[in-house]
Amino acid sequence: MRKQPIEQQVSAELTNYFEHARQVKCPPGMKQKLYAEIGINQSSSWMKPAMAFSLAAVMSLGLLWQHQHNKQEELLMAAERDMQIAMHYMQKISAKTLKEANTHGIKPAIIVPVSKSMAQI
Amino acid sequence: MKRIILLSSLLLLSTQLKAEDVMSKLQSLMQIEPSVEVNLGAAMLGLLSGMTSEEEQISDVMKNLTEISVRVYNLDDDDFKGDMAQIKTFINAMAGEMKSLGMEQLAAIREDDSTVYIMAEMSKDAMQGISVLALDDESELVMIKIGGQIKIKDLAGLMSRFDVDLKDLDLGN
Repeated sequence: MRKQPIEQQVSAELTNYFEHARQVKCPPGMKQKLYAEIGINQSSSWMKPAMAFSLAAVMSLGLLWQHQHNKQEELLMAAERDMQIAMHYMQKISAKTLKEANTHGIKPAIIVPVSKSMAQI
Repeated sequence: MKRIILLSSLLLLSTQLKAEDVMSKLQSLMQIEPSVEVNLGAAMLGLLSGMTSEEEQISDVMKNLTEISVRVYNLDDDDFKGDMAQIKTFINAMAGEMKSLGMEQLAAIREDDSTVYIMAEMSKDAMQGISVLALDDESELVMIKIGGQIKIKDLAGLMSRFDVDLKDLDLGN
């Protein structure tokens, strides 16, 4: 006769206990320990891909910068070489103008500005 | 005032166009590829100016340059079939044309085997560009155009800064 009410009482108490336990939050320390025991590190689960992505992004940017820098260096080297060629021919022609002016009597009024500038080299 | 500025701009533009024309006319006359071709625009000259920033004087000169173009034709080249007299006539005609456009002749050499003209585009107080046409010993034809505000003494500085023995350069030939 009393068996059923006892069972009902036990069931109600257990339900109440587990409901209460469910509502109590797990302390962070315990949570971390549990995660560690079952092999899950909560922080690394999202940090690892993020760190990998950041590293890849930084490396890509570095490579891109290096490529751009090399390209600009090459352009500058080519420009300096072109400048050297241009100035070599200018020098060659200027020197010839002076030499010929001295020996072949080109009109002095024409040659004076150039010879003056050459004297400042 | 606006009209004067417009007219000055048109005059400057026509002078620039004529200077470019000389290069293309020369190319069609020679009918061979130049052995040396250099084209440096304002952007590259600006970069070079930055590179030489430690040499303040050179850097300042280069800042004011807008263009450096060089064409060198090797007349000893087997492919060259041109007539030397025709080339001399062309150079004299070009120099005459430049003079008629208001350019000033700084120097000229007229010899049997050499013809050299150094022409300058002058503004009120500075040189706006320099063009060089040179037929040297009937073996090499050189045309150089330097655009931008420049003084001849600065040009001398540039020449000594950048002049090197061409044998030291890899010309990619």
